[in-house]
Amino acid sequence: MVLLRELISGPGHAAGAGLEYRDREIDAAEITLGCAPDCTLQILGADVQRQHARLKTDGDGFSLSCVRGATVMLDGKAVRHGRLAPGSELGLGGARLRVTVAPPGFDGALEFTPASDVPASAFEAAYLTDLEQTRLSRRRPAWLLAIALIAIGLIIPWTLHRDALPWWASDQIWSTGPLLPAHEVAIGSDCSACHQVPFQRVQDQTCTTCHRDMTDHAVEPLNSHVGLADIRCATCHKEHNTPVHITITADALCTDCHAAPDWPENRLASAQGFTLATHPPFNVDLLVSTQAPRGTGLAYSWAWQSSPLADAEDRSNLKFPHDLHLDANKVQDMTSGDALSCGSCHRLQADQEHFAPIRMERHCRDCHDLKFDRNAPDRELPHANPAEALLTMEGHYMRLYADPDVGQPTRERRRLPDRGAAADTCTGPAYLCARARTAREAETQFTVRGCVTCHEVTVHETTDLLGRYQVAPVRLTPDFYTNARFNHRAHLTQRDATGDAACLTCHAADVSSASADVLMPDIDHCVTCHGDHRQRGLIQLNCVDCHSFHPGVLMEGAE
Amino acid sequence: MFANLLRYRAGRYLWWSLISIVAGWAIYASHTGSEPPNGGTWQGYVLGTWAALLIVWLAALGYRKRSYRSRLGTTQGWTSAHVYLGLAVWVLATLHCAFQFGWNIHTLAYGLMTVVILSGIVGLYAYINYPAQLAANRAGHSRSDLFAELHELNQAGQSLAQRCSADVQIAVQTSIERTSIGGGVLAQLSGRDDSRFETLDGGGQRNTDQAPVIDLVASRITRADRRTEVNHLQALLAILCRRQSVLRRLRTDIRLQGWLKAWLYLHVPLTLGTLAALTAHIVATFIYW
Repeated sequence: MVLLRELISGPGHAAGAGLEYRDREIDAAEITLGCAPDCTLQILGADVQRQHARLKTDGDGFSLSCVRGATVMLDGKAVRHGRLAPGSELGLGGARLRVTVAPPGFDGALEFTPASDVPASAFEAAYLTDLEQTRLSRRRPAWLLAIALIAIGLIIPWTLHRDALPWWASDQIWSTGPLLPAHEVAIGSDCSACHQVPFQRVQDQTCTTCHRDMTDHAVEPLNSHVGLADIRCATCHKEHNTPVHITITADALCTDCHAAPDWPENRLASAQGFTLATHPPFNVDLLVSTQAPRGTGLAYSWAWQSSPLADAEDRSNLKFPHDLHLDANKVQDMTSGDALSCGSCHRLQADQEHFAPIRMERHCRDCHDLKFDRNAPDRELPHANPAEALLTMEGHYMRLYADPDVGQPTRERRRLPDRGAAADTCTGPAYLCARARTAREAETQFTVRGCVTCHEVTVHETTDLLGRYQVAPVRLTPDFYTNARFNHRAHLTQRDATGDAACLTCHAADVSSASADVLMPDIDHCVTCHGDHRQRGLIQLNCVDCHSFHPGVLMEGAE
Repeated sequence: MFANLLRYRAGRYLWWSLISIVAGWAIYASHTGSEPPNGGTWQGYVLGTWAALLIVWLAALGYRKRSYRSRLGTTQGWTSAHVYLGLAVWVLATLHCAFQFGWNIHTLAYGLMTVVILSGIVGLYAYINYPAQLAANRAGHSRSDLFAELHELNQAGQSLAQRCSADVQIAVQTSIERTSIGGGVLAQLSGRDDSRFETLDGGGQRNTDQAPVIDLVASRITRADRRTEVNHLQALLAILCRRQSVLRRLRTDIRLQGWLKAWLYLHVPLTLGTLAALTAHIVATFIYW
């Protein structure tokens, strides 16, 4: 507790009449002197700082300490520190502070005489009126922020490559965007998996470490000739995009070269987009059989052949009229009695593009059984093996003529009107009868009805029954556009067409009477709905939507 | 001068800025599909380089405006260009990053730059609006004039108060001593008045806008017994009311001056921060090319 006696009027004041004091009891450990209004004693003056000095009670006097660079006059001497005993006088800014003997109950006593005349400038300086005088600073936070950002943004990620660090203190803050999820799973947050040498672009071997089977766009030397050998993977496959994407899909990727193909032995037409004017008509790829005489018969070989769709002829050696099979009046499902639909035979595979192979046993046999003897409805010929079929017939008839237990009931069965009993009556040895009968039946099967219904059969003039009939082997083209991708499922629902109707918009099977018809749509059909990025109001297709840049990667298994 | 900032030479730098923005968009639009928009395409490099050079140049204004002897254009011209091109750089940087943002040093640099530009817009608003308000508030005087006037009023008020009754004396004396002007950051910017005064019984109370002490003195006039006391009180009341008016002007002056400078405390440090983050952005990009 300090007693402060303050002279509030007196000779110094303009209109004073005698001295007048005001006593204050100060209940604080220290007394502050300065020009700031919140000091215990506000002293205004030109050289008075805001918190100029502090006084602490110290026995019967006070200890004095000034802020750095400030002094007060203590008994006529300028000091920064000192001790004030009763009778000491301290001068600051024209004001005087005298230590007196503390009355009982007080730790100290002071007598304060304000300066007689305070200049207005000192008065103004007592207040904080500018932001420069506050704690705000521009320079210090500027440098601190700059140093911190260089440290966090550059030095720490550059020097510390530790996985244990949080992402914001590691080189992950250099990542310009997310990785492809598969890449993220594969390499995690290890930037150096791809960025191996500082200031060097990502090299191809970082990609091919995992993507070992990737093929070049063209084969050598063409690949080098057109400059593709020098292009890095990352030229087209840029990581760290937002949103995540890694493959460039724009047409320019292809049309830069394919708009005007000028490499040696080029067979490709110019492709600049996806319109009738900018994209060549489609060529279909067909498995084509060729036949050549070999021995007493023909040898068949197969080869892929590409030809314009308009001229294309499917030579699969199978006879199959689509129109007949889709005619509800002529063909119905064996079990349900409904008309056949496309899906009765064509089952889309998991890749959504290709269909499961057609198999005689699975798709044809329900209707097209291979019975050959009406009297033996449970006997059928084996499929796809003419020699075996002939031997089956021969064995059957041999037993019929030789075994009395088998033959007898056969003769008594009701016969069709066009079949005379003479056909079955043979008086010679059973072996000869059977052979004659087999020859007759084989002729029927291979030339009238039976095998010949679906197959191309060549009859060779020979007495050897096994060499007489040659059935041309059947191979159905599994993929008519081997260089193109197509999603059948995405096209199963179209405007005003679903189910079979959707199929028939592209594949005119209902009016195709010959299996030589290639029921594939040409580009004029596609462009009714699709166009390239220049077309408005159409569904945009980029080159890579149908064509793969890296060949062979996706087409494996199409066979 | 401040309105001229925007109309400097018929808005010459507005055109520079608009041309930069239009050219930036044209470059951005030239991204073909084979190279989707990205900071790493040639378009991205052009936009990024142009934006980075602009940022460095914009930051150089801080040095140019202190180089009073420089003959490289006028400060006014530089500031006009600073405002317009500073707005353009935001568009260019956005196009450079192709609207791709993330939690990384690159977006941090962009974010800092954005705050710098936004604080600059606040500063521009202040520079356009506050000087006129300041001049109107000061009515032809300087701030020192106002303080000198207040000082005189304080002395006159204290003298007069001593001739009044003890309660008026202590109230007026302490109200003068405890008048709050300016102060900390918030006090300066809000013009908040923390003034107080004390009453005879030792209690202190708020003296916002000096109104309580004026009310107190006014109420004593009707209760005064002697004519001389009434005269003193009336003179005192007149002085207190003049004080109130001067204090209002001072607070308004400090508040407006504060806002004229406040944005710089964000603008300047974050500018240096932006330069640092920009450096980190560019170097990091090429470390992990």
